Amino acid sequence: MVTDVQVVDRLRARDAQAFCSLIERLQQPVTGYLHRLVGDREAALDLAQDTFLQVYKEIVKTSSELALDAWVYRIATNYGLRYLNRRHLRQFVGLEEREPFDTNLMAAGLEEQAETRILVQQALSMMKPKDAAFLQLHYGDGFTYEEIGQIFDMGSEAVRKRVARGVEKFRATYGKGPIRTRQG
Amino acid sequence: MTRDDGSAAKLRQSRHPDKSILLAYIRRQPLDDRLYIQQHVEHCERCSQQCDEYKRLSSSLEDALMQVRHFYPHLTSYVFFSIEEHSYESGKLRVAQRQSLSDYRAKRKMARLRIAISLVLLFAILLTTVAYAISTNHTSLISYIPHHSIATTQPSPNLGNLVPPPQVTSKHKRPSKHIAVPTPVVSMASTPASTVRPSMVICDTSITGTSRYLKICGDHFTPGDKVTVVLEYPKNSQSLAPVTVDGKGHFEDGFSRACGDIPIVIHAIDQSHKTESATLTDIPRGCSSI
Repeated sequence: MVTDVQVVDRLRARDAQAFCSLIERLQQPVTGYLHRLVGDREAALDLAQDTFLQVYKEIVKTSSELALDAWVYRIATNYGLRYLNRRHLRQFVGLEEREPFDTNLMAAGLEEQAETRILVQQALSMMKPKDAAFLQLHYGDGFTYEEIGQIFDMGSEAVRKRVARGVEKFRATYGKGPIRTRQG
Repeated sequence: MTRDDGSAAKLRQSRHPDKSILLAYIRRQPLDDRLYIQQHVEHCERCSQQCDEYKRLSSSLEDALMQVRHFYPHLTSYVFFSIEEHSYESGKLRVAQRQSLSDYRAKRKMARLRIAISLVLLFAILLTTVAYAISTNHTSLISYIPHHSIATTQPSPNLGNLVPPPQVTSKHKRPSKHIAVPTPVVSMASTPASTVRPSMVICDTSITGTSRYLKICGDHFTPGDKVTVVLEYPKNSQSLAPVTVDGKGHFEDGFSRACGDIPIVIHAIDQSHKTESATLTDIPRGCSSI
């Protein structure tokens, strides 16, 4: 069995096979996380690609004790939040229209649950991107508070309070306003 | 009231856990006092309701976020292509950086060369100007050079004798100021030994009874001339017989007078050259010893 330290060492040595395995293992969850975070499939694919390219470039600067998955998610989160901030800025200055939520996210699953999912995504999209990222990581990707703490470089207690605050904000916006969708 | 009823009442009345702890409790996150929270929630209606609300929200969130799974195209080939492109771009960047660095060095070298040539030309022009000014005795340029540093012994003809002659001074001394003070001109024609004026002294004296003998010695007179010694008294004068000056310009004469009749002044007058004379005023008087 290959340990995390060994994987990191091989990645730092520019082992193509190790890097290929990393991409194979993480590309689906990372792309899914970014898709839910930014609400745009194509943008999420581009951001995921940028994330892995950044991993390749920066892995040599890390140490063997690196928490690899958390580190990859941290890079992905930074890319996602930067993308959202730029999009909000463009929308604020009027260069871009505010887009309805991507219904591709609701394509799978039961039809009767689709409306609930749209409402959830709308509520999350109205929150601050970082608060939404905490909920996405915990509820969407199943990360524990401790793992989220590794991603954001925070303690478990701080993450606990941050997730609770995010849930309170989510409750305040959930189900408010009409459903707006976009066929993608 | 049983023992169990008492502890339940205590749990109901105890401090309610923070909302974040309740959420962590229902999300099964690690908690230090999970058992206590569990017992509290079981007996506290308010916290129980809060937990139910969190369960409902969590269920919605999980349903919307976790249970929907998409399939995304494989990124491996795209990522590796990006890496190759990145490496290629980095290589190109390095080459470009190296090229720009060498260009910069070449430009800097040329700039230094231009500056050096300019300095040499400037220096050459300056030297030529100075040489031309010196050769044509350009006063406007010469006037900038301090006087004490010029190696000349000729004062300006316009200033004549009022300009002091150049002096050799040490570098610690302040140079003399050019003040118009009349100073005798040092010339070879005016400084011979013949300019030493004739002089006269009492070269011997003696007392005999009530009279004093005085011997007069003269020097620097014209050899061969006749010199007359004249004794001046308050009311009259008396000349002694003329004596001849020897080859060394020296003569001697003497006289004896009563101690109360000593002359006040003694003159020695050259009979051939009237301008050459000597006067003696410091004459011992009376018969007391000198």
